[in-house]
Amino acid sequence: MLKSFKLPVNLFGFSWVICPLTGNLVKAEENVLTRRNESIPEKIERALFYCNEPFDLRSFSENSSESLTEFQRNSLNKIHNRLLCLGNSKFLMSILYAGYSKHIFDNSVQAMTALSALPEHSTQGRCLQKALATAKTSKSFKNDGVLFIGAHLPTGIMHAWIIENDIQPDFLDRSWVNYRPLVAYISK
Amino acid sequence: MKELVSNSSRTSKFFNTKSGLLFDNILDMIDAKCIRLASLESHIRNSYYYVQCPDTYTSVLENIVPIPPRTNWEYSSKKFFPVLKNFSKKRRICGIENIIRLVDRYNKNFNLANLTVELSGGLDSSIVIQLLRHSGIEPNLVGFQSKRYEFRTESCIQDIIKTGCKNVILMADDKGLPYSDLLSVPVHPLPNKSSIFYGRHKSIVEASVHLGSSLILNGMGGDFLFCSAVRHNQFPLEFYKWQSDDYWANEYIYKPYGCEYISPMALKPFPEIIASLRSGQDEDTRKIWARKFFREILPRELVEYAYKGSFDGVYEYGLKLALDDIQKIGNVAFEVTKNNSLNGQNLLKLAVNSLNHSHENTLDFMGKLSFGIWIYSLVRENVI
Repeated sequence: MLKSFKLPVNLFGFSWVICPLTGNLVKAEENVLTRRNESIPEKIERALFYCNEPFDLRSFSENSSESLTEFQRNSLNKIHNRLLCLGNSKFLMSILYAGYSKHIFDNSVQAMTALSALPEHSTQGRCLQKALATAKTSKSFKNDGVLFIGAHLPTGIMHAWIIENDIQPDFLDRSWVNYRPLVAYISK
Repeated sequence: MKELVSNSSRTSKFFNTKSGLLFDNILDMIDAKCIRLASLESHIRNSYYYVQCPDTYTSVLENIVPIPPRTNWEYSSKKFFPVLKNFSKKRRICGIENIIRLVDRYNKNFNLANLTVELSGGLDSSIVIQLLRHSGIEPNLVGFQSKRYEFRTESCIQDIIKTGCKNVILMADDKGLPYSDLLSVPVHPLPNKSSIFYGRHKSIVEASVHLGSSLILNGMGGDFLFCSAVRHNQFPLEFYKWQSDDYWANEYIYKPYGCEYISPMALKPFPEIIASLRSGQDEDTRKIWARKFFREILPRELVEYAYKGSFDGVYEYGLKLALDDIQKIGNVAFEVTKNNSLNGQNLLKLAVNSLNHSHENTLDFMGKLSFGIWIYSLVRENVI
């Protein structure tokens, strides 16, 4: 299961957060949206540090795609297609679906590399499905990964990405730095 | 019948396709009637291109086509074709030290002392600065430093690059917002989308003049040189200087201050060298090749990471602050043209629609706004 943590911020005279159930960006009067007393797990705190200090992340160059086994290819296609069908509109179902792990890859870098090769990810438009597919299929995500959904405030444009230990595993995604994290998901 | 249209001067000229005459200036030919007949649709179409070049330009004023500085064109069957200079197909063996020697040669020929470089925190301007430094030239640095979240990586690069530089002016980003100071845009003979960024350029040139510079370098052209695909032994069209040079800003903003605004990456033989080195390479949107090639002179943050800040938030902020000015411009433009799409209210509606960040809405709005700015400047200066 994926557990959510809201990360509200005050900015431009308003408070902002992303609703973990609907995926909608919520804007309210300043200081209205505040974090509950529940503390943020250390894994998320660490990942937030890397969001604020992107140059402290480990840099890595593009790995040539290792060939997928038939099992990996078929399983990934099935999972990916299901997430695409659900789309952004069935947000909660997507989160629930991604929360039940089916480990195909050892780590999120492998998962992201395989997903990046799919035609649907030639542009950045399906970032949520890519991130959720990674969360579901990567063994290392269970222990170390944090999935963020954020917004480029105050424009309202949103994006999803993963930080796992000191890596942002999608080497093709160079725009994630523009988005302020407003909700985080980790494996329970 | 082919006609050669040649502009050997350092400023743009204007070609009349009907008479075949080339003019230095057309302001004295402009009156209210020709503004009313000017084609807004053509200007919006022109605004889809990075710069105005004759081969892609549709006349806004009847029969008038702007000819960029130092360019030659063939005019035939109502179309323009660039006269392309031959470039050497010899494969250059070149390392970073050769490029540094090239900068050294420029310095000996043109005396690059007391020049200013725009410090944006991006890769291209950083390459320009570091090449100068490694040739023994310490430029002044001018730019905008933002506290916005999305520009934290650029801000970090700016702090690294400016270290050790004696003359640095980094202004708060609200001194250079898009859509700022629109009512003061200098009068100009043809509408141009670049006028929307007048406020930004004005801040840059004033800061540079304050530092005693008359030569201001930017990082423009790098996107084409380092990102475009380069076929074997071909010189891509977008590598030619006139494809990437914002000559409008140079002529109407920098020259009146006695300055020149130059894109050194567009100057020969730099594009030829890069074309040769990148021959056969695919599109490289993250500029991986450039980061590796210049790694000896760049900080780790630019070599190992390819982060890119988005200007959507800044555009939105600048636009919201400029709404009153936009309405004024629209009202004046409507008075002259009687074109409803230009009136203040409609222009405001377009401005608000463009905030949905649709590329098409934004270009349509920028086209209409820059058309309105052109008319406003002509009215303000009593040209019409």
